[in-house]
Amino acid sequence: MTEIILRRLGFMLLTMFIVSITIFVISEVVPIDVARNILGQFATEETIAALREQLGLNCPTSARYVIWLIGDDWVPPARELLGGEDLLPSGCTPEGLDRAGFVRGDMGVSTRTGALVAPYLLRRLKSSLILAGIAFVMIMPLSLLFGVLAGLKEGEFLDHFISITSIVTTSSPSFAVGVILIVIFALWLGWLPGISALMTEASAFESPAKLAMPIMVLFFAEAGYVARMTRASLIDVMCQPYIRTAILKGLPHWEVVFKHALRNALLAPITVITLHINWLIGGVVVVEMLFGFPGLGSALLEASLNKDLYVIEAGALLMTFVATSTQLLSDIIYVYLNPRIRYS
Amino acid sequence: MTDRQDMNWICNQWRKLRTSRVAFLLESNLALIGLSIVILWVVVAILAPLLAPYAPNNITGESNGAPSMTHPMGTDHLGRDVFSRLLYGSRSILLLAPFSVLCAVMMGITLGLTAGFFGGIVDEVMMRILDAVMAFPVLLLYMIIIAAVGASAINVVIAITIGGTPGITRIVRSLALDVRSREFVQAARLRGESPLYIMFREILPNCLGPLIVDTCLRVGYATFAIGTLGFLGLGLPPPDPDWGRMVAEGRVWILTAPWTVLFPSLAISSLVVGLNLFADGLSEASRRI
Repeated sequence: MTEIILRRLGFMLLTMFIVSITIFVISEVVPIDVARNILGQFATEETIAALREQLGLNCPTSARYVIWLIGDDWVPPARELLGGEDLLPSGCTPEGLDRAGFVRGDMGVSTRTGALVAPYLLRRLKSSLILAGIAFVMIMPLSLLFGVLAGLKEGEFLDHFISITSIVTTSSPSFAVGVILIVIFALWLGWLPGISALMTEASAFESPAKLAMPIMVLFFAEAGYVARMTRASLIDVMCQPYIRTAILKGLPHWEVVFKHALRNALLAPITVITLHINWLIGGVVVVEMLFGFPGLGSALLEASLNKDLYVIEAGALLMTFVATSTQLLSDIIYVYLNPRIRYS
Repeated sequence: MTDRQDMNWICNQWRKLRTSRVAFLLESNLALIGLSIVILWVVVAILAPLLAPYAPNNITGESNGAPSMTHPMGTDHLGRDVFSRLLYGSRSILLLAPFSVLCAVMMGITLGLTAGFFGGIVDEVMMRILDAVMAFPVLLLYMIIIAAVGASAINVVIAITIGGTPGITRIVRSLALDVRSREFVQAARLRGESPLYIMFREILPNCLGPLIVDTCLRVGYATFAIGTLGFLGLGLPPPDPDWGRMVAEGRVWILTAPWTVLFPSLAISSLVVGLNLFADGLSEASRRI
């Protein structure tokens, strides 16, 4: 069991490594001239040259990647150790050696606001995690319940109702669901506040009413999917020989369902929910944008629209880290829940 | 067939008998409903210039005017007719979504066949890289791509192609691995056919069935993604109408002029739901056969 988890951990690190290269290549190699990409096509040659100098863009790409990832304060000790030989090309290590690199929490400085990226993004990440966490806690039990109900009543009205609602809600884009919910609950019924144009980082969690609608949208984006998974899984399990044995043994129906079927039926959806985290992250970005919620998604979107290079790179890697570690967590939960692996 | 498969089969048959009459009718009905919604939108897209009362980018009324006889869905913040923009907006999305899926399918077929046919280290390396791409939240991938290359129709296609390729590659690869060991492929190898010939003439035709069902599902995802990109400001540049961007532009006035955002939202939802119902029915039907 430990071996499986360790292997998964190694695989996660490998994934993060490849992802970090991908992010770096897409944002710093694909645009060819990063400085021009940031400043736009109307910038003068001097300002472009100045920015290139400031960002250290005259240095080869591979060296820039290394500095971005692990920093450059290890260069002088390494030089002494190697007897004066420089590992990085000259021009890549300017006077003030102060970059610690992404892995040690130095995410650089925003090219737009000049603020440090790390504290800003971590604050935003915390807000997003709280929002997604509340949504997750509501989605899990309810959607599992809907899925089990649909699976037990397969082919009947309740099943069709739940299945069709699930298809409609999961296939509608979150922003459209959000708009329809705002029109219904804020405009027609007047129960909840609509969108607040100015939700600051401090005021986001002040009133639960403000969070109700974003959470509802996330619920609609995710619950249908989980419900359908649970339904399919339960129907599958109910066809297994051991369930037939339990029925033929004369056990009451509820006991067959709750004691024998559910345990195995819930294994698939529980792990799939966590694997579906990438989908939820997409939903979170849309919801944050729609309701003006100050989270990691809206921070990234803003950075991406303003070409704020270091915020994009760090934010993207941070988000992927959240996604891959949740996937790792789901693997561990799966191993723990599945007796066939646990006892092997 | 082993005992266990046998039993499962009987159980499934029993289940089908019990539910078939209602379920099958309803499922096929759902697929038909989905197909009709999609066809409706295709017709609208083709006939948009005939159906639209105004040119989509012309200012034809007051700012944020309520729906009336002259403007059935009201006007937006610039005074443009929402109904006309809605009709024209169907064109870009119905063109871009299938096109980008087609690009992704071609990429996926090429990569998947290569990985599945050669196997070994080629397969291993390609799959690890694709796994890493799949570990990305897709929307995030779109955001960094668009930030790097800018927002335009072709870049939306590129982003969606890159986002869709890994999934298709996986499916093609697993199908190719299955077909590769069949006799007719071995016969082709013994005949001395080139790898390209075997990949595209022997293996690919035998993968097409499941691939077509999967492609239909992906058109739904792509439509979803294009709408979302437009909403996030990463889609087609203004001024031409785009459903997602119409919602983003009207977002601020949702409480005073809900018609500017409600109708585009309903439009994209209906299209994606239609596509998914159809694809769902199709995959259900293919599983039954």
